Amino acid sequence: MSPDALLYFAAWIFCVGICLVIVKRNTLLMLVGTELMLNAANVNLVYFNSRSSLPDGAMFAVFVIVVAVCEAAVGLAIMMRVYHFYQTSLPDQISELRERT
Amino acid sequence: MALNFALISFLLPLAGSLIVTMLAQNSRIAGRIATLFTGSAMISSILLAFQSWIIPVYAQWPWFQTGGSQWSVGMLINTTSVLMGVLVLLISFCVHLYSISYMKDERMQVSYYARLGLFTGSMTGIVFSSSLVQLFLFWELVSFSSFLLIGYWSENPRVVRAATSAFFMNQIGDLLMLSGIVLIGIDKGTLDLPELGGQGTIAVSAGLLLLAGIMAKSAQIPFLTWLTNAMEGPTPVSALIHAATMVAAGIYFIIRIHTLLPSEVLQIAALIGSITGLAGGLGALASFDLKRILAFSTISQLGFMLLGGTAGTPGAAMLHLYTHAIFKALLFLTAGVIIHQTNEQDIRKIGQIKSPLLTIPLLMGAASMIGLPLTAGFISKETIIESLHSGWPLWSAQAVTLLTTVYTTRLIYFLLAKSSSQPTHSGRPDAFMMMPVAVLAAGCLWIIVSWSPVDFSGSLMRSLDQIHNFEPGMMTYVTLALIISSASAAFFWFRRQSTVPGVNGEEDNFGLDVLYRNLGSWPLMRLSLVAEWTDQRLINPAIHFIAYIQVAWALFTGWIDKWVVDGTITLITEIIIVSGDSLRMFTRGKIQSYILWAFLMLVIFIIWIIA
Repeated sequence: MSPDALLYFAAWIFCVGICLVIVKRNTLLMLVGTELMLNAANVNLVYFNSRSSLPDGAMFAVFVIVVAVCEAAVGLAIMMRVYHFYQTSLPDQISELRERT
Repeated sequence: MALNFALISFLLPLAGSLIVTMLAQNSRIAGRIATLFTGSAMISSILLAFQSWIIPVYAQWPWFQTGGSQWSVGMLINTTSVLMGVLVLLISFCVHLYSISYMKDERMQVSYYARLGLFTGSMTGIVFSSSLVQLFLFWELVSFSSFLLIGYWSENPRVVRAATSAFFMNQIGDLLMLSGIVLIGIDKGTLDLPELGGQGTIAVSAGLLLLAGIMAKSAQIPFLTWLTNAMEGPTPVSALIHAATMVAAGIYFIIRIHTLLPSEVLQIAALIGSITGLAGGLGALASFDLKRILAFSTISQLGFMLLGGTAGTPGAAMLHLYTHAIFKALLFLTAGVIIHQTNEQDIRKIGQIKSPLLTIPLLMGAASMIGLPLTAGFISKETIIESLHSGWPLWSAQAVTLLTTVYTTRLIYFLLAKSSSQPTHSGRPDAFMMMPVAVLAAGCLWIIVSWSPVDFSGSLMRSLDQIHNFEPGMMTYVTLALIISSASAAFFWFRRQSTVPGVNGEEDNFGLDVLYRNLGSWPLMRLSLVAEWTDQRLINPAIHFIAYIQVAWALFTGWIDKWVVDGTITLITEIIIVSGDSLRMFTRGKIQSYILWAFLMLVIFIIWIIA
């Protein structure tokens, strides 16, 4: 496996993630999209670490995984609160922030 | 001093009219107040007569200015005007007094006395006016107040028609007279009678126009029908206006401007006067209605006066005006009593009158009208005949005298002497009615003209006409013989008649009304036909054409408005809506689109950094 292919793979995962975030109507799947994007970043970190003697990148990837877990927890909590408040979890129907028309 | 008296006698009736209108809600009081005012005016005029008999007084005040000409109002008081003023106010006072009883059951008494006062004041205004403009003003006021008085019983359409026709005929005359006055003003530059007197005679055209006004006012041919129709008014009004004062205003005016008129105008006036005298006499002979007979006799006497004033001497005409006013007012007021008691105006139906309270005044008035000796009428009539020296005026005057005798005999015979199947009436007239009748009956005696019953140049005549001197001459005896013989012949002829001789058709003045109506309507009909043709053929198409052009233009502008003006504005708004919508796309509250845009911006930013 050539290293470039790995980079392309990471980019593809990132693209899939952002597409999920932008396109999916469900908040849960948007959260999944963010996880994918984080993982794409992890792939990059791991790949670039392979060129170095120190394990900094891999360590950073571990941290990212930890942070991603926390983020997923916080995201789910926010989702629960939002669902509780708006009786829906669909982002299209949550538009309180825009100007009143 | 004399001026003050004249002003007072002019203003008091007008003031009385105003006060009656404003204060008197109670109709009984209205008559008494108006009578009081007129009586005071009469006393003032009598004092004026004592003040300025023979001595003329003239005063003028500036009135208004047109261009460089100054017009003035003034008072010209001489023997003629003083005599006329006293006469007008005396008759007016008598009529006021008489009306208190005659009109006591009427509803609108306040307005009656107001109109009467307006008339009296205007008439006095004519009498004392020194300028033609001022005189014309009062002349119009007299026409107007006469219209109001004739039309007093305005519920009756006949009355309204009579009042309108009287006003209309007077207006025709007044219009012509106004043109005459304007002509004189242009020609001479002044309208004051004393100044005009110093400038010789006026132009013939102006004189003829003035004569037309006089003819209309004095009911001369061809204007005579309004006077007989005016008999629809209340009888006291007929006595005041249509016997003694208003119709005499024309004669008075011609006497006043006699020296200004050129001889051609005077001859025409004399001709008209004699024709009118004969026509009026024939009308009186043919009528059955008591008031119409008196009206026709008034017309006849006015024609006689016009003849005497223009072909003879004005002083004689003035004298006859004076005596005629008294005896004709007396006859009218007595006729009013008869009408009031019997509710009947037709001499065929009235029946025999036996009450001496009525027969004596009737006989006095009739004797004065015929011109029997010892009456005032005798002196004035013979004076006129003496002043007509010879020729056709004399013979037509004799003919008028003959007619007067015959119709008066007819009236008196069928009222007093003819015993008929109709019941006689013996109701007692009250004092308010009989007082004026008594006063006027006393005025029919010779004594009011001169001390001596056979002296034609007695005191009054000498004051009126200081140049001419009349004495009973051959013509006097001829006339007297004519009068007496025709009166007795008529008396015996009428005694043989079983019914009253006469001609039907007095309601429309023996066809004159119909003739005038047709004469008036024929040109109007022609004119209306021409007008209709013009309207249909010329004016309507033009209007339609203009309308079509306007509609087409409106459609065009409507199209422009809709597609050009509105279209521009719609286009602008559409652009704004579209651009606004496209701008709003970023801020629709969609979280995912925010993320998309943010990501795209980030990508652009990164590309920009790297590049």
